Amino acid sequence: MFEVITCHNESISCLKLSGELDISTVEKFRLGIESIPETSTEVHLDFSCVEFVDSTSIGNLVQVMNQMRAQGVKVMVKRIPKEIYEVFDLLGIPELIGEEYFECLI
Amino acid sequence: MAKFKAKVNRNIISCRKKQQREAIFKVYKDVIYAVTQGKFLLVNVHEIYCYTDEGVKLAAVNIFTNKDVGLARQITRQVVKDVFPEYDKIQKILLCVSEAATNILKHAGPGQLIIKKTSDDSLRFIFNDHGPGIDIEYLPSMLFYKGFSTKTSLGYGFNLIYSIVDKMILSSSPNGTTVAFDIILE
Repeated sequence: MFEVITCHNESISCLKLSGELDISTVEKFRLGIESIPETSTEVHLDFSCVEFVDSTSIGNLVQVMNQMRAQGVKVMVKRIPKEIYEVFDLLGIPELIGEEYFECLI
Repeated sequence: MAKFKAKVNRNIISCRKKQQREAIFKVYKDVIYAVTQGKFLLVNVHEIYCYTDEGVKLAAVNIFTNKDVGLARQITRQVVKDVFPEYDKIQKILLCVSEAATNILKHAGPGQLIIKKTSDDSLRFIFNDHGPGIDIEYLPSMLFYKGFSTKTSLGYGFNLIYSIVDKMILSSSPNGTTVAFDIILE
């Protein structure tokens, strides 16, 4: 079970993700990303209700972040639960992309 | 007579190649075992049964489609809860199960997960497939470099499993692969 709720205003898009993100649900995440209007200059991915991630889903997230950054869009991953952030950390993602783009829930 | 000699020569070459492969396999096995301080064990297709036959079977999950990855996690969660209700680091076990099951689907096609209890405080997760196998030349990179994959994915999986589990056993041939890992639940 995985859901994406999107909310767009003029320049900022927010995507609230919930459920388990893996090989079977990553397509839904990509569809959510595709719904972001071209006018958005900033994207917030709210991870507070994400219950599981693995290297496949994080690999997709990194690809999306890199593509959007190349187009000049700032992507922030917000409210990451501690257990989920540990997986990001194990994979060295905050180091790779920049720690300032990842906000962990305490 | 000439045909007979050619056949004998082919047999000799084939035999030498087999001996060479076995010698290379043994070097890889010994070096990786030493470098990982006994944590990673590379075994041949005959030896793997010593490890897959051990213990009491608690559950089995067929991994045929992407949805089965979630099912494998769900069953793992239930098994750990039943056997070790106090265990609180389930997330990392689920991550290893997800990585191994996803690897099967990405690289090998259908496969199976078997969960066994091998001691009072240890579970063994055995993943079997009939895919094309892992070339042992890639093993050091798969184990020790983050982000390595022989396919065009981010492919952190193998390294991630290795970094979490207590022991890992691998047997691979062109007829399939068995990856088993032990987790001590303390």
